[in-house]
Amino acid sequence: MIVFILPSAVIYTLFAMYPSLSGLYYSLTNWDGISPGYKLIGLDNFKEIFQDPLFYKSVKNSFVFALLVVVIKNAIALGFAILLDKKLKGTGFFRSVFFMPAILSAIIVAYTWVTIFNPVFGSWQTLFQAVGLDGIAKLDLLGTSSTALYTVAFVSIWQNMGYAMVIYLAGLQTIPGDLYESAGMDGAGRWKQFLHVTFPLIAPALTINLILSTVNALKEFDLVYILTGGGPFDSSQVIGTAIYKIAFEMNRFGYGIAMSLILFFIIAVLSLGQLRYLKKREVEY
Amino acid sequence: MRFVLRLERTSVYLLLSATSLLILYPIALIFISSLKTSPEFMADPFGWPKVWTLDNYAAAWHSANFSTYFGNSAIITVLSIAFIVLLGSMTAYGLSWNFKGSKPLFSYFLLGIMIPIQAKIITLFILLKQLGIINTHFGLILVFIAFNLPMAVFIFFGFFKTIPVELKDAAQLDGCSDVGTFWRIILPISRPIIATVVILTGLYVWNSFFLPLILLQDKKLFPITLGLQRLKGEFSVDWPLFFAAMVMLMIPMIVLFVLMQKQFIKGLTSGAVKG
Repeated sequence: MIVFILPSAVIYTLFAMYPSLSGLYYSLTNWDGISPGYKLIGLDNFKEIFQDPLFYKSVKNSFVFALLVVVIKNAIALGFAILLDKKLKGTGFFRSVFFMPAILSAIIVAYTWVTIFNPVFGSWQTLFQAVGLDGIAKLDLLGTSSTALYTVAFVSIWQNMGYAMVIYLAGLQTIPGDLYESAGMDGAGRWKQFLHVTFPLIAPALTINLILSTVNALKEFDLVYILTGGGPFDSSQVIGTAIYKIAFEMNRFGYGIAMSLILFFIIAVLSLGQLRYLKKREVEY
Repeated sequence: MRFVLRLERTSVYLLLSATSLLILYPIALIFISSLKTSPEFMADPFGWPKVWTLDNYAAAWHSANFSTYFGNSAIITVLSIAFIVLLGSMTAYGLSWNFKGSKPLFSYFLLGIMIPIQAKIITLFILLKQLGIINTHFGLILVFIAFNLPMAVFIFFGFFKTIPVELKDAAQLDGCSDVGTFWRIILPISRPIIATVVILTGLYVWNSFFLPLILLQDKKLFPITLGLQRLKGEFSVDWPLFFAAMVMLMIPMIVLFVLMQKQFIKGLTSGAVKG
């Protein structure tokens, strides 16, 4: 028995669990990650974080990003799941196409959209020039402070909508067809059927999707890093990229670790809160 | 009434087709542009190639080092998958024996799913440096194994619970050791679940960018994802060559996806609790 578990336990403890724990210690130091020595500075890192404009900006951006992605992505995904749950010709094809971006590396997705939004040869520019909307064509969506974060959110929704849709589809398929029939006979229109039959019964799929999207959106790194690098002027800096910048570009390891612990705390509180609320809601129905 | 139904059906199809276009067009653009010469792409970024060429692939493969990057991605992915499947199934099998303490141990193995990668990446970097395995495939693969074990243990455990105890007992009566039972009885009947774990971890490792970005510095060790980022970072990028390199990263996954859509969709969504 021990033979079966020991090798995994050692690798897992050393490389997945120990780093999280040792972070608690390093967050109390001023280590730069390079020099051999460092000092214990107590809670100074945490005090500094709460006065750091970069921290507030990235937390705010992460929240805006997460809210947009979670709400819009799930609304669209649920809509398409309902459309594709019907017996239409070609649903299999559409499901596969919608799901496909989920198997691509975030790097591929990001560079593809970098190409589309390229100010010199991007499709965006050509498309809007062709229909005579030069003003829109000239927009540099990724390179402008007011649009960068929203553009990243759009790309994230583009990549992950199909994944959420498949989870909703699995939920819809557990609903027995005669429920709709009897609701129809009671005179419920389609909107009422959705509100009183579909929506309550896909509660478990909703729980999974909302929690997964929230957690993933809050720790987003790859898309932001490639699409905007957090810029321009930190306008799309999220917590994930801010931690990277602090630790590996500004060489402030202790400070970066302290901030990463706060990220962990935020994610844990939000996802556990969501879980409790949504589970309670599931039971009520 | 009939007319309304038909109108509705038409608009549903229009919506579905427009969305498909929005999803397929960007990917198709990369594919088609990778087959153009560089001057043609700059002159006309949209039309079909007048001259179809594979020169960009040859150039990416030979002079831009993508043969090395591709090989690195392959090695890292295959070895990570092999060990995740082996160690994950072994652990889940051991835990499925319900010995004293097996429940807390199971929870301990799942705890890793909860902790976001950013909350351990910096200290992980420090740890690998202290152990002298920073900037090695060995170190990176160990981290991939450690990060994917929780998911693998979780999926295998769920399956092993459904195997009747009689099967194990019968094997033991026939003189099979514990290891023999696991190797000759349990693993062969777990093939569908192994496929799920392979797809899940394979995609994760092949597509990963953040971990190699932090843990590898030597260009010779880079996987394709890092190779792409490096190529883009160079002074002036040859776009069609860059697109060819992008296709090299996505083509294996797209081909596998088209061939085994059902397993992919099932495999990826069974990991829906992955953090």
